[in-house]
Order: sequence, then structure tokens, then C-alpha cells
Amino acid sequence: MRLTLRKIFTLLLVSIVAWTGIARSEPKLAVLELASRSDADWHEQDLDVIEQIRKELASRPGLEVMSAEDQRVPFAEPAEEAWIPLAKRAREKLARGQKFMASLKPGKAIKQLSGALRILRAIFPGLKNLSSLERAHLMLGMTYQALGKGRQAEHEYRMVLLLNPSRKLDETTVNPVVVEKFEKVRQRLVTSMKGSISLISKPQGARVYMDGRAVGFTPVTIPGVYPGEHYFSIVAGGYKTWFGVLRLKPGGLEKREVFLQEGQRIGWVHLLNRMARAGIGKMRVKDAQELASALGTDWLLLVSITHMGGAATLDLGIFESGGKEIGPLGIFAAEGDGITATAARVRRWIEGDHSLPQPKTFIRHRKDVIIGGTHNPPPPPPPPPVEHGSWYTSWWFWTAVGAVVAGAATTTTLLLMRGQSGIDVQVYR
Amino acid sequence: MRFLRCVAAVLLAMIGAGCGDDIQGSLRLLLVPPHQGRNPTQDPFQFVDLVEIGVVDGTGTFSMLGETHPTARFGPGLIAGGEQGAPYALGLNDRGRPVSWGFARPIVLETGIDETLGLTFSQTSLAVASRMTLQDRTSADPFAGRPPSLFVDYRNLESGAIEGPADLTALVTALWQGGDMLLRIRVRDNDISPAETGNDINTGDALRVYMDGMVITAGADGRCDAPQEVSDCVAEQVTGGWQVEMTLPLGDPGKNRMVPFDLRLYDSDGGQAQALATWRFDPRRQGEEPLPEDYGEIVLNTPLLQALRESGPLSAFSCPDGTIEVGAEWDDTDLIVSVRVPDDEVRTQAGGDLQGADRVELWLDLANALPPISEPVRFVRVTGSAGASEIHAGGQDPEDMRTDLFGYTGSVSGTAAAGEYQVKFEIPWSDLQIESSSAQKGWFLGIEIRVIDEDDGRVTTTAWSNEEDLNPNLWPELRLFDLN
Repeated sequence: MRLTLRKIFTLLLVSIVAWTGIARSEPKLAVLELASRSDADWHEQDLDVIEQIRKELASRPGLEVMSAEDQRVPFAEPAEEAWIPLAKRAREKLARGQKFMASLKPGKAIKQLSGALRILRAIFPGLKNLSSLERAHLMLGMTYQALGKGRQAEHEYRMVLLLNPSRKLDETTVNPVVVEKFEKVRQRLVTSMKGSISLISKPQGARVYMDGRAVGFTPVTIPGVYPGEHYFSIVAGGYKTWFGVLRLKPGGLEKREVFLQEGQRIGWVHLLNRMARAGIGKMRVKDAQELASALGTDWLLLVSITHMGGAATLDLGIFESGGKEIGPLGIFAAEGDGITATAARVRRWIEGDHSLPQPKTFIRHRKDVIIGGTHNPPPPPPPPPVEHGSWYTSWWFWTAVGAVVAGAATTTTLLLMRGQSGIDVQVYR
Repeated sequence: MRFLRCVAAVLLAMIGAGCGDDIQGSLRLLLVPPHQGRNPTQDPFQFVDLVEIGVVDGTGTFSMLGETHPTARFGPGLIAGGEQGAPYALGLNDRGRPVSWGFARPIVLETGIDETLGLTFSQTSLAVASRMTLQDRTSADPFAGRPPSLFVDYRNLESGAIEGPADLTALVTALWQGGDMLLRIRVRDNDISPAETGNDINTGDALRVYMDGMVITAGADGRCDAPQEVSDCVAEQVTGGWQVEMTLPLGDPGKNRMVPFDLRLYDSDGGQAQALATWRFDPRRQGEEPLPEDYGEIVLNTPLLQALRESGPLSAFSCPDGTIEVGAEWDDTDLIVSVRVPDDEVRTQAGGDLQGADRVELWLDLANALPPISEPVRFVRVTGSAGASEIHAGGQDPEDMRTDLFGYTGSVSGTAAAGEYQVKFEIPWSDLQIESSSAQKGWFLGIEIRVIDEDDGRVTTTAWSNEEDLNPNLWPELRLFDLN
């Protein structure tokens, strides 16, 4: 058979299509935590557990596990469109400022750089990173120093160091006088008394960024913070990002309570809250389907983490997009073997083993959870009763007990059913 | 066997007797949403998960009666009597934050009460100022018996810390009349620390009012810094806190007009950082002066008559001989309005134009001050006397009404008794060119009642709007409502 160029091309195309088909045949799975408000203190640890589950599931081929970042996309608030032209204007002002600096026109440079800084401060959560802010502060500091305004220059250098504590200036490209002052500021900063910043947000559990770096989730207290102005943003899915500059005094404690405003994607938060409130066994299939469609995933692994007496347990449910029910996978320990068992159970379910969890796999025994293991042998049966009955085996004793119980039940029922009295207050919409 | 039956019967009787609730009074709160013209403009339940019902007294102390999920009809159920104050409803979202609120006029919840009150309910970006008459304004306390407009408390904290409601809660009552808005701001504060002499007012316990470009600062020390247009600004300490009253000019008063407004409280408790609480603020600019775009809005309202499917609550206004009562009900075919007028000497004899008889003019504004509407005639007027005679007219302008524009097929009945007379108007929706099926629950119409008293050639006219001129922008409102 002659292998023409066209045939080779067709074969190649078919192979690519087939390979893509195979690649696509890997089912895609998203792992979602259904957080309850009362467990907000454990938010960070819970996210770690979810990440461990993700890693364990992704450690074997045959399943495409969505990353936390990808999962966040449908819930994240869209970027402020008005910020795009502002960012452009700031960049232009920075460039003009640099040009004026080079042409030794410090007055004009300060005007441009201050303008750029003002804009950047107003839109900094929309920036990919805070390097342009750092650059604006540095250039402004250098210009102030050139004009002999030492205090303003030091303030700007301090801002650079707060944004990037490891920032070094290269003496081969920067005036040594500037480098010297910059290093002096660094010395003063590292020897200054650190303070702490406490942030509370409503709702809590929002991610906090300080000077462009993630520092935890609200409520959070950040210890060991250098005094000065710090750029903060608080981000939560479904809510508008809060941002602002917080000033910390040496050795001080700055507290701030922030009420996050609901954003365009708040509907997803409500949906997740609704599912969390309902719990794995009672949530609506419609909600799970809506979530799976938004995430573009074939499978949803729903994880509800409960903390009890220092131990955490995972209550798992799984949903296949287009499916009619949410499969209960059972309860697992949230560490070590529990995570491995979770991943194995998920894989088995996806492969078609839809057996319901055996009750013995999630019997709670005091504070511990027995995971798929064997029970301790049952306690020995009680000794047989004594032959000669004592007073508590007599008929009159049990008749008296019966009368007391019946009397108590009747009294309780009557008390409970007794009508209430008062003024009837009704509201009509 | 007979004995057992007897025992069972006695037990059932005991349970039956125990089950019955003893209703000692009834309070119905009819929520009134924000509206413009004929229709509601906002769903105050949009973000509401739970509603807290309670009463707030004149000092700004809130007493909760109960919490419930909002349905078509809801409530805390049976509550013990004895509470006194303005009923309030506070809509909370799923995180427990207040997102909607509303107040009714103050009452005493005592045994035997049977009240139906309107309670304006809106999202917390809006508050309501009640309209008062000139007579109300000149009374000893024009704020007495008025519903509060808004409150600012620990939930509005912008920076700093406060100990709780007793440390800082401000209850604002706003009234309007003519071109003025009267404000009373009652601040609860268990530790009053005024500014030190020579320092700015707001370095101590103080408040700042922002309205229509004016900024007024008043302090617990009695100082008040206000522009010239603001008059009667008085700040003084009262039991449990301090209070500020002032009169501010309104540019263009009219019903349902929205006035930009904001309130900030400064609370200094010796030694601690000053706390700031602001009604509306941008959380991204905490501590900075609120910008006009951050402000909330105060809506100027007028008296409201609730028309129900059955005999509903009465509204009242004063006349020289006493108090005139107005009631209304509606169904799919008719609107019925009845007016009871106290009169020392009722005159029923009249000419064709009803001159010489004591009479009542009922005016309806189908657009409720916000045209256009789809109906061809906006205003109708029906005049009825105690002798049941009637004349009617319609038009696009209340000053230019014509008989041929309004074909009235309804009826007017009048009854006279010693010291009073009553006129009842039945107006078919079809006469207003409204399809019987389209008169909707929740509509608001403008209504004016003018009572003309003829006494030996002396004619006295009393208008519910308290305006001599026919100004539909100031007329009270009629709301079509259905309890079912």
C-alpha cells in the first residue's frame, strides 16, 4: 500500500484526535469544602486537609483533579474594569516621572510620581503584584533625596522595604548616596519595635494579604509587623475585595473590623452555605448540579469537616454531573490513613463501586472515629440473674414504677400542651 | 368499661382546655415598602433571612419580642404585654447583619390592644422622615408619637471599639414640614466625655450630620457648628446620654423625594481610642469623611391610609370640631372610602352644586404624583354631603376639573347623627378606566380629603394634606393591601 503524504497526515490527525479523546476521557473532579460558620477557626487547617485530599487523589493517574486556584474562578469577583485604564495611566505617569528624573526636573518628576502612586494606592488589589508600587515609592524617594527632602525620602524608602524587605540597591546602577540612605533606613527599620495587626471580617474566613503577601484568614492577628504603612487587602469569594492602607505605630496593636460588601457572585456563596447547612445527606441535587456545571467538572467531591475534641472527621458526599443523587461515601478521619482511605473510596465510587458505607466504618466511639478497621471484641455478657428475686423483682415494685412514670408523662404532656397567653403580634408583607 | 370511658373523657377535656391559647390583644404590622408613584420600587426582603421584631423606646433602647423567618405573614406569636415604644422590624441576612429595617409609631403593648399599624420597611440604605402639619410643629413636642427614622449603633462601627449598645446607640427621628426637616438625634452613651475646652467639637463625644452638601457638627458639650441655613441647633445632655435637635432646609420638598443624608458618631471613652460609627460609609476608606456617593437617603413620606379587603384601620386628622376619621376598603370591583366628620351643626340642605351643605371632597391621584399613567384621566373628585347628594369631576390638573371627563356610576351615601356626619364613597374601578382585574395589591394612589364646613355663611375648609392649595405632591397616600 502506498503511503501518500495525505494518508500520513490523516493518520496523524486521527492519532491526535484519538489521543485527545483519551486524554479527555479522564474524569475531572473538584474537591469542595462545605464550611460551617462555627468552624471558621479551623479554616486554615481545613484548607490543608482539602489540599491533602486533592494531592492524594491526583497522585495516581486516571483522574484529573481541579486545583484550588481553578476552583476559585467561578466564585471570584470579576476584576474592576474601571481599574484597567487607571493602571495604564499610572504606568504612563511612572514612565513620565522617570523621564523627568533623568532630565533633572525633580519638581515635575515628583508631580508625576505622586500622581502614579495615588492611582496605584487606589487600585492595588487589581495589580498582579506590588512591584509597580515599590518602584513608584523608590523613584519618589530618590527624587525627594535629590531635592534634599531627607524625611520624605526616608518615608518612601521605608515603604519600599515594607513592601519588599529583601530589596537591595545596586551601587553600580544607583547613586551610592541613595544606597547609603536606603541602607540606613533598613537598619532603623529592623531595629524598630515590631507591633501586631488584628483583622476581623464579616464574613470571617476571608484571605488576608499584607503588602502583597498572603498572611492568613480572618480573624487573624499578624505578629512581628514592622511599624509603618502596610497595604492590606481582604478577599473572599462572592464579596467585593476590601483594601486599605493600615498604619502601625512602633510596638503598637492595630485592630480593624471590616464588613465585606456582597458582590456579583454572592449567589454562589449562598448556594454553598445552603448546601453546608443542609449537610451531605440532605443537600439538593439541583444545587450540586449547578455547582458542577459552573466548575465544568464531571465529579464533585463534597467534604464537610467536623472538629470534635481535638480530632477532625470528614463527612464525604460525591456527585456525578447529570446524576440524580449525591452518594454518601461515609465518614473518615481527617489525617493520615483517613486521607488515603478517602481517596481510595472516591476512586472506587468513580470506578462504579456504589456500595453504601457499612455502619461499622463510622461508628463514633467516644471521641475517636473507627475507620474501616475492626472493632474491639464485644464486652462479655452480664452474669445471669440471681435465682432468688429480691424486692426489685417483685410485681408491686414494677407496678409502682409504672404508675410514677405514667403520672410524670401525663403531667409533662399537659404542661407542654398548655395554651400560651399574651398579645398576638403578626406582621404582614 | 364505663369508668375507663369517663376517665378518658375527663383527660381529653383537660387537654382540650389546656390547648387553647389565651389571646389578650392583637397588633398587626403592615409592612410598607419604598415606592415611587403607584408602584413599589424596592424589595426590602431581597437579602433577608431572618426578621427581628421588637420595640424601641425614646432613649434608643431596643427590646426584642422575637425572631422569625419571613413568610407572607409572620410574627413572634404571643408575647407578654407591658412593652412600650415604637415597633420595629429588623431584617437580618444569613450572616446576622441588618440589611433592612422599619419602624411604626410608638404604642403601648397592653392587654386589650387591637391595633393595625403601617410599618415602613426598606433596605438599610433608606430611612423615612414623617410629614407633620404646621400645628404639629408648633406643639410642645413635635417628635412625640412619631416613628423613628434610623439608628446607628455598634453594628455601624467604623473604627475604634465600643462596649455595646449602652455605650453608643443613636436613634434619629426625622420630620418634615414645608421646606424644613426637623431632626432629633438621641444618643445613648454610658460615659459622656465631651471635647476639652478649646479643642474641636469632634475630639470628644460628638456627632456629624451630612445632608445636601451641609455638614453640621454637634457635641455632648452643647456646642454646635452649623452653616447659616441650619437653625435651632441645640445639643444637651439628657438621662443616659445626650441629644441634638436641629432644623435643616429642604430644597424641593415633596412626597417620596429622597434626600441624601449621613450621620457619624464620635465616641470618646476616657483613655481609649475614639470610636467612629457611621450610618453609611465605604469600608475601603474607613475613618475618612463619607463622600456624597456613600450617603444613605431619607425619604419624605406623607400620611398613609391602608385600604384592606375588609374594614381596615382608620387614619385621622384634625379639624376645628375634633378629629376626622378616614377608612377605606377595596375589592375587585370597587374602592370604598368613608369619612366621619365631627360637626356641631350638620347642614344637609344644598343646591345642585352642594353649596350650603356640609360636605366632603374625595380626591384621587391615580399617578400618585408621578405621571405618566396608562389611564386617560389622572385626577378624579367626588363630593358628597351628609344628605347623600354628590357631584363629580375629572381631569389632568386638579385646578381644571371637568364633569364630562369622569363618568361616575358609583354611589355616595351620607348619614348624619348628633355632633357628626359620615359620607361613604363607592367608586367602581371601571369608572377610573382601570380594569377590575388590574387593581393590584400593593398599589399606592394619591388621596386628598377636603372637608367643607358651612356655618351661617362662614365656610371653613380642612384638608388632610394641610395645604390650602391643591398640591398632589403633598397629598397623603392610599395603599391597596390584602391581609390574605
